[in-house]
Amino acid sequence: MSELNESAAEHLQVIRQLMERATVYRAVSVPGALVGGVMALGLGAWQSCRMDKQGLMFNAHMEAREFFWPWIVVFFVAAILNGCMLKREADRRGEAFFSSGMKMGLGALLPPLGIGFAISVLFLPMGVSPLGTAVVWILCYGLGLHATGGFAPRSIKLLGHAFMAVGTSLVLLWTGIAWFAPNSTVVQWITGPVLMAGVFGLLHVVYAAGVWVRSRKKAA
Amino acid sequence: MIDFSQLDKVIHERGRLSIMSLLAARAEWSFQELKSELKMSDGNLITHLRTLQEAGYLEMEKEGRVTTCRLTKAGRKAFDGYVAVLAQVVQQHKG
Repeated sequence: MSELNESAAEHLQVIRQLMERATVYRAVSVPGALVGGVMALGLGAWQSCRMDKQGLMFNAHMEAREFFWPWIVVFFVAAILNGCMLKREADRRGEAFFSSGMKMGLGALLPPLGIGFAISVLFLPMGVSPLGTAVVWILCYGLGLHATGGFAPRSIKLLGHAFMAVGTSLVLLWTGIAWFAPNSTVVQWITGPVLMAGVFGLLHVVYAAGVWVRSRKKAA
Repeated sequence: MIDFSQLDKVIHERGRLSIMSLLAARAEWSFQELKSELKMSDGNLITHLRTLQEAGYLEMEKEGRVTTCRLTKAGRKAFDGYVAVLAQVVQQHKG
């Protein structure tokens, strides 16, 4: 009876692990999110200082090399680091790096990220609007995370919803201001770099901390 | 008392159980995806898939070069029943 019970428990464990592997894939690793978030906070702070010195505020335009390209570099560095972390986790579990989960993750994330990049590149010749670019990136990244919802853990879904909520609120806020209070100075301190640091930086750090605390609690 | 004859012998084999678990979690898997996920040889995977197909638990569809596998209604019912019996065994041992 005990042997049968052990066999039954083992089979149930195999089923659970396989079903989880097939349905749950964390496309944003915790260390990747943490380092990416810290880099975003650093770059946002540095750009804010530069903007301040130059007296650029609310609707200001910046040179592409000052705003656009540094963020693209940070994105690729964070993406490569995230890929390395996911590879390490896949090796630890004895899985292939390009697993079905990874393919589903890329399939969900890449179209919105590509569209966000294309939209921002389209406006490059007209001069980069840090604020507009930041909002487009925030919304597209949120949509990408949301698209992984069918197989992502709850924390990633929440992260995606937070990005979409912030992005949509900002669009509504600025539309409202443009219509009803065009001379308002209330939100002048919210610049592109502040948004990038506050949303990409802070939300990723909060996400990493939340998942880490939760995993420690589970392990205890 | 648990009726152990309820344990489906077709599903009980480890390789086929793995295939059924993946198909129960996600509706469709290509042959290559199953092969890579389960690290099985072509021959081994085909043998298991045919056994499941003959039992009426799985259907395969070939579109161009891609063969897609999915559970049938009978397959889903058999898998759910199998898991229920295992859970019952574990539960009874605890009790």
